Amino acid sequence: MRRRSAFGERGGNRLVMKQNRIQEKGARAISFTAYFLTVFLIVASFVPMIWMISSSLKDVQSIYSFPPKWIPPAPQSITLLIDYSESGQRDQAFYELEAAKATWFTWKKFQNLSIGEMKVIGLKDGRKLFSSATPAYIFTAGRAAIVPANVFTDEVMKLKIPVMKDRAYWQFDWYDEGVPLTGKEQAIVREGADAGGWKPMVAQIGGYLKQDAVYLNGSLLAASQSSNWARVFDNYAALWRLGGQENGINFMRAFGNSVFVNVVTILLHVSIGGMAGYALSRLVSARWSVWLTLFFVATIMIPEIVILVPLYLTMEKLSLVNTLWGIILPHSAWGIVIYLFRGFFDQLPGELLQAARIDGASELRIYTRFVVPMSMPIFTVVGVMSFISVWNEFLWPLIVARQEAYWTITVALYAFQSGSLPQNLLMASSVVATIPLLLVFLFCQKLIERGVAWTGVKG
Amino acid sequence: MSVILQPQRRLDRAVRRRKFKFPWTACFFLAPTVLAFLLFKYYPLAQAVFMSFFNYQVMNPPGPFVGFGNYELLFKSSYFWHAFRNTFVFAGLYIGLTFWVPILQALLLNEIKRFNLVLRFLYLVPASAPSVAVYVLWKWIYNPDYGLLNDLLRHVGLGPYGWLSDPAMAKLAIVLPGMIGGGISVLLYYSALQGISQETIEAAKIDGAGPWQRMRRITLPGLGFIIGIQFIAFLAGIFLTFDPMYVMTGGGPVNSTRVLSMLVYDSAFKEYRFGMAGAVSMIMFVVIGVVTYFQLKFSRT
Repeated sequence: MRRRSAFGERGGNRLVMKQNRIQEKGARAISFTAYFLTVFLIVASFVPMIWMISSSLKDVQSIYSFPPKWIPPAPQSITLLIDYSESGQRDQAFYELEAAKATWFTWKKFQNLSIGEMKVIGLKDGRKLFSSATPAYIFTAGRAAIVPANVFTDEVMKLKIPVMKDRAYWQFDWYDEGVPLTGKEQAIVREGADAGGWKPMVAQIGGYLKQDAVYLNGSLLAASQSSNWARVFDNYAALWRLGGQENGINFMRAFGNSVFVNVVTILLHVSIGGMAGYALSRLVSARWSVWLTLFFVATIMIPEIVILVPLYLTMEKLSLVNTLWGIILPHSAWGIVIYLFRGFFDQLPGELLQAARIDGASELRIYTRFVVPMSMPIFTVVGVMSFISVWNEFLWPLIVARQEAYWTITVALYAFQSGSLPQNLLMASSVVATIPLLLVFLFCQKLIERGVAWTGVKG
Repeated sequence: MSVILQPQRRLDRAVRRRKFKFPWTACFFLAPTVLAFLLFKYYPLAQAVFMSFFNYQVMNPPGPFVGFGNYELLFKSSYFWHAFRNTFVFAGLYIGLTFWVPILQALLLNEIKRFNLVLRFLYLVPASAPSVAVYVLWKWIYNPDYGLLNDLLRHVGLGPYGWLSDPAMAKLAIVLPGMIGGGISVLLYYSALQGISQETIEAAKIDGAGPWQRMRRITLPGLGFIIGIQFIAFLAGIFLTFDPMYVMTGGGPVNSTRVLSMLVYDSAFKEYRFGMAGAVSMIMFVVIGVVTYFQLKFSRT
């Protein structure tokens, strides 16, 4: 043990290497305990995260089932083959309406089944006339607009088809003269025609279409159901598609708001915060510097909640309530930012700056040309630390952004969970909200460690 | 004579001018920040004090002066004292259940040589979820019908519990998520541990102190300073906690998780009694001030 400390870690010859392995009493025990407990604690902290991801991949049926399962079930693809040999209709508009009704009305009727994708193929005299495929995320995004109620009539769907085309929910292939069926489709005709061989989900849908449904002009020839893992991420796609809508659930807009608020706040911090820190460190006399620093840093002791109400009233006077600037501007007064900048600039070598000053460079020029490039570490640390705090911020945006259009992700998540967003989409939103910080942690871990040491030990 | 004096006089004037030169550059550098602090920190603070003495009216400020009326009303209301007590109970729970977790995690990390960087990153991963997302997630885990936790407990023959709907358990349920995963604080303590001089540790080794003893006698006391600072910040932070209660329970069930910060929010933005909100926030300010004062006094002796 003593040799080890005397020779250091990398002993030159074999003998020392061997003696390095001599361990003191208890070293192995403590090392084992440390590894074991650390791994245990990390695994424990990952359990909720994994549950969040698992929940975000589930459909509306499996998310509300007890006992809960860790692995989401495979999304099911439903294929319906509808025969129009009896019908004399030839024009495309008629079949577009048929495809839309077969997809959306059937899906609405069975909206609590976890359908991953709905394919509808129209046949006439054994030849394929049209095909359409609608993935689950389109239905999730469009349900409220296209099929708000169980009213299944031609008139309703005629009104909705332009909406569907406008919002790109429309996926319809038309074969004017009809084309032969592919091998896969022929297999469905062979195996799916007999209702006895249907799997449970398609049995419900097929039975309904054969007996009770009155909205289709064709007759159900065959149906099939198959697992389709490609649709497992549809909750995320649905969030994206919901983002295009004006009202209702719009997570992507909240995400965009958050990004804007964060970027502008960081720019504010590194621009005016950096300048103020530099002025305190180099431009004012020592006495002024002490008092001004106190003026800035003392505000760290003012809790947010204490000034919350008057700050809101101030924002109202400035008519900044319900704007993103209302969220951003109060961030320009963060004592810790000034403190960090001042502390860093105090340690810069003064000679270089003095030399530049003698050469007649203006202070602004010295700052931008010499100080900023030399101080990149502090600028990035402040940027990253601001990002972590502002991305997490909840109370202030909750108060200032009273209208949906100005919600940040945290406010949106809160509103969604108290609203009507299903749990699986809510969890998908949470996962998306986590990604930016995860990326920051992944790429800036060293910087964060440095920043944490600066803010923690000093402040 | 006068010809010779001329440059000297000019120099004098120049010197004098430089002496009284207004610091335009410094002002240019400082002005935006000073303005921001005045507008967004000091003015609201003064306003908060001012407001608390009025039955504040937004339409026609400041409304009738009531002196200490708001405070009197608060001190007489059991609702306020209930929230006051809850705040302290939460403080106790947070200290008892969560404060020491990152310290322990950092101490363990300090004993680990291999994969240290990776393990540190893995500690950060759960912390990358925005706190509101974590609360929303835990609300889902606590769900009485479909929740994960009740299902896990069912396997060991416990429950089912109504975590967030049972007044006796709601406080614990809110604090519990903080117990797992220290997040960024782990890095803070870890970096402080790196600052402890290796020489001291080597010296202790030579004197025959084992690893356990070194941890207890050198490493942990070496952290004392940073733990003290963190504790003050932690405590002040707890008294202000708003997000977890607001997101997970909204103050219920039966007000068992209603804390002072929520009282500020409710009285201002739900009941529009801004004067009352000002009074509650002033009381919070004083409470935090007093607690911090005793902390500092206690840690100095």
